[in-house]
Amino acid sequence: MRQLRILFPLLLLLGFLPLKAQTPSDSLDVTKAEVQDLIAFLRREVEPDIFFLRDSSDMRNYTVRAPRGEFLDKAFSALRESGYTVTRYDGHWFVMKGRDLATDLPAGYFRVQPAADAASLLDHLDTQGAVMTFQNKIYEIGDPESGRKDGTATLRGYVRDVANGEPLPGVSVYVPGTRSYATTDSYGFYKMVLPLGEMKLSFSGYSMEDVSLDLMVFGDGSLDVTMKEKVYTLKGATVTSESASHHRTPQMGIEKVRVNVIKNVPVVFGEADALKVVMTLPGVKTVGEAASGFNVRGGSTDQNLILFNDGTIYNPNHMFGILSSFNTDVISDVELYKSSIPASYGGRISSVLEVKSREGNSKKIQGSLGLGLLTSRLHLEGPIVKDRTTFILGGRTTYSNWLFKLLPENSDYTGGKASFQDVNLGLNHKINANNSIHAYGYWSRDKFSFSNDTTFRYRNVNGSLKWHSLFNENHSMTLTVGYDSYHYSLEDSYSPYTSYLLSTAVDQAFAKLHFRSSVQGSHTLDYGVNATRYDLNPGRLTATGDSSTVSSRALDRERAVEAAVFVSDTWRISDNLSADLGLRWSQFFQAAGEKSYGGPEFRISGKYSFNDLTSVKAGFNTMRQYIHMISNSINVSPTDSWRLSSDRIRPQTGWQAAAGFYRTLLDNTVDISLEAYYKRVQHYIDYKSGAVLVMNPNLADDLIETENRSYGVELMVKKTLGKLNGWVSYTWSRSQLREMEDRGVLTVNGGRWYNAAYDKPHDVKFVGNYRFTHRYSLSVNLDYSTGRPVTVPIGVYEYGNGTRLVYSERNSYRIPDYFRLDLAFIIEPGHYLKQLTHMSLTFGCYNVTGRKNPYSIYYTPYGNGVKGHMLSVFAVPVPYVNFNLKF
Amino acid sequence: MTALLAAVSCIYDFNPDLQGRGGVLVVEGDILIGDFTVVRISRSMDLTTDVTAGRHFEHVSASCFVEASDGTVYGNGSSRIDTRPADPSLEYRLVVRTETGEYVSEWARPLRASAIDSLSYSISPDATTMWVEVSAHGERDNIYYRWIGEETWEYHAPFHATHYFVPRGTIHKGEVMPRDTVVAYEHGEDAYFCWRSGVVNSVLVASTGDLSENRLVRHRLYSMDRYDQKISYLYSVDLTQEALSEAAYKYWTLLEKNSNDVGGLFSPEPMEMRGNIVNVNDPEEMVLGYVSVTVPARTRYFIVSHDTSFPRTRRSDYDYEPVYVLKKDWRRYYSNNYDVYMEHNADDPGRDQQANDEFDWLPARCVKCWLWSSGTKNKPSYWPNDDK
Repeated sequence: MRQLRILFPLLLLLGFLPLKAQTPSDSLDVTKAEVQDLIAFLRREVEPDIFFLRDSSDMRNYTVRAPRGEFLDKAFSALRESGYTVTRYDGHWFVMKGRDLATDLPAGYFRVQPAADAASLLDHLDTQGAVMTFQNKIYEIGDPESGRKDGTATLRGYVRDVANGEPLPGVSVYVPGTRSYATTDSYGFYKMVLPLGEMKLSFSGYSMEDVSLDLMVFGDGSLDVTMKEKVYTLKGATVTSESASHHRTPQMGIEKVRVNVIKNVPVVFGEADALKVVMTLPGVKTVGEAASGFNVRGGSTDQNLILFNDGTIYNPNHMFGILSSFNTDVISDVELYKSSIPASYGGRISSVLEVKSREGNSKKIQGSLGLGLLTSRLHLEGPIVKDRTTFILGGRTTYSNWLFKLLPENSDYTGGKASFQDVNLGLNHKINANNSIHAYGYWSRDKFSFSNDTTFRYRNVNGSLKWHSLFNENHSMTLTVGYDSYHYSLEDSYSPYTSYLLSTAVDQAFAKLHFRSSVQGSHTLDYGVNATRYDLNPGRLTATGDSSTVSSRALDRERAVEAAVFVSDTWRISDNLSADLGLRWSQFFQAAGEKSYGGPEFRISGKYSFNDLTSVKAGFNTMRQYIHMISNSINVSPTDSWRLSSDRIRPQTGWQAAAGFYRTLLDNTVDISLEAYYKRVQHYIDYKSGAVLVMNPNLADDLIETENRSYGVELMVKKTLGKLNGWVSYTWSRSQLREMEDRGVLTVNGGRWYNAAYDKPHDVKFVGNYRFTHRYSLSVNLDYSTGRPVTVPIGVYEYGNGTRLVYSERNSYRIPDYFRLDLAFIIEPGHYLKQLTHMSLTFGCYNVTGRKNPYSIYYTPYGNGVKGHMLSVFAVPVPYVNFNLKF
Repeated sequence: MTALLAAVSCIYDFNPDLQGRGGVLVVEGDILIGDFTVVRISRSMDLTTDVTAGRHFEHVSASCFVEASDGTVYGNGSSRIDTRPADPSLEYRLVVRTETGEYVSEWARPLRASAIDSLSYSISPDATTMWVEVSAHGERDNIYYRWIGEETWEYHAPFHATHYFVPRGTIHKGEVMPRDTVVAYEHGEDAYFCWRSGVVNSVLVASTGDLSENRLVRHRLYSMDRYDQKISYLYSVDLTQEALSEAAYKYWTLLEKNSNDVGGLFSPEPMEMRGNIVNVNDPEEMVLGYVSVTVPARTRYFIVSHDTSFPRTRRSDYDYEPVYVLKKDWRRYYSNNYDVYMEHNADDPGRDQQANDEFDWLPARCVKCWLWSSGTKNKPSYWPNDDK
């Protein structure tokens, strides 16, 4: 058994104490002593064997008077009153804040041998990161008797959050000054190769306090670490994970945002929203305010694969884009892949947005309650079996039709009513040290009506089960199976004779098998298979009511299987050079049609690091997409439906080439990245004039194929640490379309390139948070971009007893530029742990300057002419307040 | 909270400087077999910055003919073509000759419109809107409908005057009036009843493609507000029903969307329109309009507002008090656009007992219906009542 032994020369510093035992000798008296003085007094006069972890925020003065025999009890009760727990274990007293001492550590949890001696317990306390330092403790890895002197050894382990036992993904584990590094995966697991001998090992994670341990490596071994959330007023912490993370992976164009950042970004109506924060990242654009879809590097809205715990979310919006589907109470982070897409993902051209939910607290039941202008939220989490099985449950509901009364006429919301509910459930179970099972469920329901006689409904249902297994330290497996369902319906009761219900649906079952193995230390292989079985209802029309003359009918269901095998090798060629070589083969089998589509997809990227702080990367990706959203509006709209590729609708294919330069500055606190890309997509779907998109059995007749070319440069400066943190980015990019076929005079814009609706060349974004203290902070969000292209009238004529408009070539004009500034002031709970509940409050204002940003410009007949109008969705400052209670 | 977020009015006038595209030929006029075909040729105008200003569309002088597939040509070049004798079994096209060339529509066989079963109306539950509805049915193949509504309505001046003023020196019934006179209306001379007409200016199209049979039941064509003058007394619509081809239906649907469903968050993008008319010499030239060939069905429908359960009284329009005007003031009131309403109440103690021709006056527009609104006294011959 490889083991970790702990040498623990504990230095108990007995202070110079101002306190004295008072006479009479059988009575003790401590007056107005600070906590450490009280403890010192106890050690000296009553009980020497007290281990104490000081809470640095404890500024109380303690007064204790009691006879000597009762003094210890009195003192301990005073400490308990102010939130300390006092536990006796193995002959020692432990005084610390926040939690009961787990006196029966689960075997293997800390994987410390021998399991339950006092030293290991003290080590546990140490890793909780209190006052005692890690200095002078040396962790031995491997067997000191092995006699090996040089060579390398493999170290592995888990990194968890001390507060709740949740795994911490994305934590950097490294030996400073060398290129030995690893990053924890989504289970908090890391594995790395170290040279034998003595070294310092650092753990740093975003917003977590850095941990640095002294190691003596004799051979292979394991080391689990718990980390503590950073208290922001701490001085001297300098290294964080996400700075410098650019230099560790050959992949490009990956943006990760953690939920605590998401919660700080001001958004309209103050409902913290993961998707809205994604839209603040460089390379991500939208067609305007209240737009629900987003465009990544010139791609269309249906070219983003949105995964929530591996389930595909087909409509990630509530209220048609005012809010996203993701409840920030239960998610841990979102990760956007906009350039290098790992070979394990496929099926969409532009990006993968991965949203992960947290694991429940493994130590105790807790929850939160939130009240915002639009929604109320409740979440609960905790252990079912302590340290083994946890759950997290979150739900949201709305109560706000009032909002729609404020929106402008013609915005399509007028007279609207909207409501939604959603529920998230996550269950995690640790079978043993090497196996864990995760179950996720998501359900959401939306109802929306434009007027009394038209009602839209949609729902998402996602369920998945994931088994993660570590065969040995070089080989692991993840098996995921799941079911995703998106159902949409439109009910129209405008006239009793034509009332109907129109429904569409996407149902899919999927399985993903993913292996990861390390070979010879410098190769990490990922390989596996994915399969998705689609079952789409492209349209079903049902007469409703007795007098309806609508003929009930349904389009043929579309069924297909998309299967893929993939393999990729993350190869550390040398200390400076590494590469990620991925190959995916996807194949699309229709149930009914003749054609089968498929082909290879290449995912290649490479990195060269000049040093720890400077790297360059390049990458090339190809992608295929077999499912398409059918929509004739630029926004993601209620009537959009999904269709599969068929004999006449070819898959979309695309490639992207990108290169980047990365530099870390100012003591690792500031990252600069500069990325450039060029991208082409073929067979992107557009529509003929007058296309019928609903209930059309011959839809392919109304479609045209276009190709897309996009290119751009993204510059981002990100500061992850310090009182001021956030990012500022500038993007210059273009995205243009061209019809592929020549249809004579009918060819869109004569077959020339034209601007995509989301082509906004200049784009500046700033997201910042300034902490005055650890309780008060101010967040700023700034967004400037070139106005989007629109098709405008250029002439007017009279026809059909009305004034009509001659339109320009497609997207040949731009609406005025967009500018918006949002502010939020956040008050977080004090760190008084004895309080049962913690309250946080956010005050904010969306569009502080009240700029009337246009969403669209349009013309309506007016007298004998026409009149121009501009629709601005949020044209005034929109203040908000949001309240959160944690318990 | 709602007060906090005081009403957000987010639509603003906005008139960007756009490059204009005037001068595109517009050809309008469906070929109506068994009826007159009326063609209207115009050109589009630039959309300049001053788009709100009223303007007149340029009418293009052109020679118009309808050509049949057997070589017969109908019409003498004028815009009104007698296609009553045309044979519904042939194919037809419109031929238009202008200074810029010869334009022809695509050959098409006439589609026979379904029979109009009935017209009806319904009133919204909140009693604010009246819908005019059509019921029709036909063969399975002609499932695309278009309607053109020519409306006529009778309306009244707010006050029913019994007399009117004739100033000295004007010629009245063949004689020069020797002095200022108030004359009683004779039977049939009333200024109270007027008639006005117009066209329904929405695009009226429908398809029964989604229905179990080619039958429209009370299909809502267009609406009128409860205070609409059209339904203040007696309303009539002459509805022409045409059968469209699928392409023509798409054209009209797109025209309607491009005009009315623009700018909203989920509005479709406006799309370019291509009709079925080409310049013979330059097929690339953009020409606006779509010429359908149809055998129309036609019916006239009346709505008597008194019969409807439509609460639509609005007194505020009539909030004028008659003024008692002494004879010496007649001319002054007349020149201030007043006219006689009726004889002043004989029991009024303030009345000049000596005079026998004292009258109450009102602003002229309150007693003369053609001043109240832009109607006329031209009562249509088919009008089903005795108002004159």
